[in-house]
Amino acid sequence: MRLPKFEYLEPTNVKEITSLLKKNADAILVAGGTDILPKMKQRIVTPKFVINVTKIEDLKKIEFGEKKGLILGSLATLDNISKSKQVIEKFTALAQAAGRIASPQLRNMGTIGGNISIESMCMYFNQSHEWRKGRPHLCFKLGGDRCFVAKGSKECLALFQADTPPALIALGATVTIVGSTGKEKIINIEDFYTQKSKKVNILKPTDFVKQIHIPTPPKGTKSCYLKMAQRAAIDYPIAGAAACITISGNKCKNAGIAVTSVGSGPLRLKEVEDILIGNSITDELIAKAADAAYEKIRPMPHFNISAWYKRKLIRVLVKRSIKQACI
Amino acid sequence: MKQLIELKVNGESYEAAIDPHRTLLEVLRENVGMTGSKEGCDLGACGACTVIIDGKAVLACLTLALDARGKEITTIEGLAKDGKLHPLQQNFVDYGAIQCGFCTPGAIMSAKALLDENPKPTVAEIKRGVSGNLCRCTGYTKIIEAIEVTAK
Repeated sequence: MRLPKFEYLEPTNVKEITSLLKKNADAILVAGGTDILPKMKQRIVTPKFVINVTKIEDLKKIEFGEKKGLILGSLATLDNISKSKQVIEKFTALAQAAGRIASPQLRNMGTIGGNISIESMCMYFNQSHEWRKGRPHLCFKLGGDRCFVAKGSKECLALFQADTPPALIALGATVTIVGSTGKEKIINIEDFYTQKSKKVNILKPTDFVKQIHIPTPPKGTKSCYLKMAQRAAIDYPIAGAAACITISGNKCKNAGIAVTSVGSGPLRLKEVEDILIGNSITDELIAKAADAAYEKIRPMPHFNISAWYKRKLIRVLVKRSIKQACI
Repeated sequence: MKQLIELKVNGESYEAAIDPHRTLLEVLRENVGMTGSKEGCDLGACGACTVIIDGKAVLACLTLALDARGKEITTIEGLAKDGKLHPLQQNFVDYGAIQCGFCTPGAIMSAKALLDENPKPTVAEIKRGVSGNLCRCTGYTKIIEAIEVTAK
């Protein structure tokens, strides 16, 4: 499959990205290209301009300081994040999530900014042009009038399956977005997602993600991300769960729990956190918390995975991730 | 509009006039004439097009040729020296890790990137290192064996 024709632009600094995005409507940013180039080959997106941002070295940084926390430039590769000593030590869930994405080659190319901004995936959407043309109706995500995931659904139900967002939510990350005026906006990563499959995140066509910041976790904090997939590599999760637990004086002082691949966006499970916070962590409490996760989520069946299986799996993953974060 | 670019492949420089929408894989195969890197799925799932750019194994089918300007590109053609196969290539042959041969260039490039970074990998690390390369003849055991022997 060939890429569609486009005009190629190569900015050398952050300011230039904003001006190029403003000047050229129908432009798309390409960094790793591992998600967008296949979609262009399949003619799902056919932009007039492609803006290659990989020459901007500033955005590739992975910096850590006790006071300022962890700063990840949006172009930091998933491989570098998963192998960074400080990330492994202090932000374990993120290193685990980044290290389980796709394959070594794709991790060398893919960036954290791209991974958090990834679109939802669907077997009725991520297909070749010929495949889609052969079907009598289009789905919501392609501008049509129906959803093939669940018959009769009034909205798109494509599944959000990125690995790093639940880890970032559990760790309390914030995202810096640069808007069309060049002004920076810092938001909690949870607010970055709309929980709607048709447009997963709040980015406008002229916005881009500049960096991600995670505050240094307090003493006694550990985190863990667990992913269940059909294959060990090159696969999206059937379900994934991240837990970040702070223990102080035998009691759970703070908790962050988030799951992915169960709906239209990564989901923070406040109910589960509330069960843990303020109590000493015992096996019974963890089981109660996992049951709360099981009750909270409302997954749709996707591919050959039933909703029933997903809910049971989330219960297990939440339980194990909390346990591992407490060891 | 076509642009004149210079690519540094296996230590030698090549010039080509190309459109911006051409991938590195297309340019390597069609303009440079190196057909060792294979086009499998062309969507980033199979690893048959793996090349090494600046020391990292990446997929040529998802790299824009314009983006590869000024970078050090190594393909399967760059491994054999003076008519003698690279130890990895020789061991792939000796241990029967080539069946139909289509995934072999990609698997060898992944293995090379792994051994360059970690000369003594464990079996688990080898499996992880070549996990991005699908072999539809399913000869994985032999591929892992060949890499293990090379590392010794």
